[in-house]
Amino acid sequence: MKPDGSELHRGNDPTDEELIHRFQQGDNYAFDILVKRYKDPLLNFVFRFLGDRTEAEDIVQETFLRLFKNKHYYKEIARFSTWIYTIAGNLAKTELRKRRRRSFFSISNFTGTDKDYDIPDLNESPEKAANSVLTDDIIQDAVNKLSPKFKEVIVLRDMQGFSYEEIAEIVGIPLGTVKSRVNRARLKLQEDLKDLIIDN
Amino acid sequence: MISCDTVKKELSAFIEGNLAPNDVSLVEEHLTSCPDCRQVVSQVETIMRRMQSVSSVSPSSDFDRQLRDRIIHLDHSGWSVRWRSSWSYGLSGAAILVAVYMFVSVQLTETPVQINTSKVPVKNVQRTVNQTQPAQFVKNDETGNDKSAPADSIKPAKNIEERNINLIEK
Repeated sequence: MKPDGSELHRGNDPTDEELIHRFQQGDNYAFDILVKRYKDPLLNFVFRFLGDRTEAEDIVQETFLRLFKNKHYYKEIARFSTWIYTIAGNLAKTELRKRRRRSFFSISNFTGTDKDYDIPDLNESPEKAANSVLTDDIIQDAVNKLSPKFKEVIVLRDMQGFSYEEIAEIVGIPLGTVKSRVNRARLKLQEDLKDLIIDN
Repeated sequence: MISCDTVKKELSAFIEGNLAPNDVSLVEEHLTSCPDCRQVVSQVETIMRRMQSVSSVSPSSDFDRQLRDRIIHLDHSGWSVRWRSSWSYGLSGAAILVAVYMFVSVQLTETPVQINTSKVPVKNVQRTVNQTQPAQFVKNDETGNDKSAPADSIKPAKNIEERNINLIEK
């Protein structure tokens, strides 16, 4: 899911770092390429983090606006991908905090989820059965229940495919803390979903 | 043999192959004799695979146009409309609160001063307030704009207390 523009020259394609450098020199076309390269992975990251498509799209646009206005803040010490993910992650966390304040007195807090859980077809293969039981919505609901600090790392690791080192850089926490949070997030998800999973 | 808690602590490292060979042996030894931990490992692996295959979402068709519009509407301070509006609401609210606070505090401080400085019974308060006009005459006279003030009010009063005392004496 995550773009690999930092590490690989895809044919004659410029790296992210080359593009941001060109953009810093005034080449707006380089900005367009960066948007094209990152809008999908950033949208998926923020969407899985917030669980709301419209808000996610708004946050991703805001991320690109920050990039547009603050292009000179980028220094080549960090990789571009971790830099842009850090911006998006911080904006998403701010949005989550706002949402929690807004919903503090909301009645929606006291209503449970009204999603129906499908009964699995036991004749299917285990992998197929797992996919049919653990639908995208159920996975998203379980992720939504995690606290933001667990949610952020598990989305980056298991949905976006970042390395532990990259996550440490994006979130700004020590490597050991990232590994511990990812492990605990997986155990929390297992605890939440265990009754829905058919053992292979 | 290691405990279930230790296995859970090392679960991700075990699944992802990041454990030292000795530790792998210890975990595997535990798993052969602990069905609960075996089930946890199996279910976590299933969830991890499932999360990797969650279908992705795509930006809306007018994403680029909207972004372009927002870039055009960036003001010189660098704030986009969305974030500027949230700040402007906050600042407006703060300004209103400060204005209300100042108004209330002025009202609270002014009222007792009038009563204290008059030093007259309540029935004379209205008269005292009304008869501050000669002080205005004094001021006008000093500037040469008004010569119609009575002779005994020409002497400038230093402050409101002195004026009130003069009036009471009269």
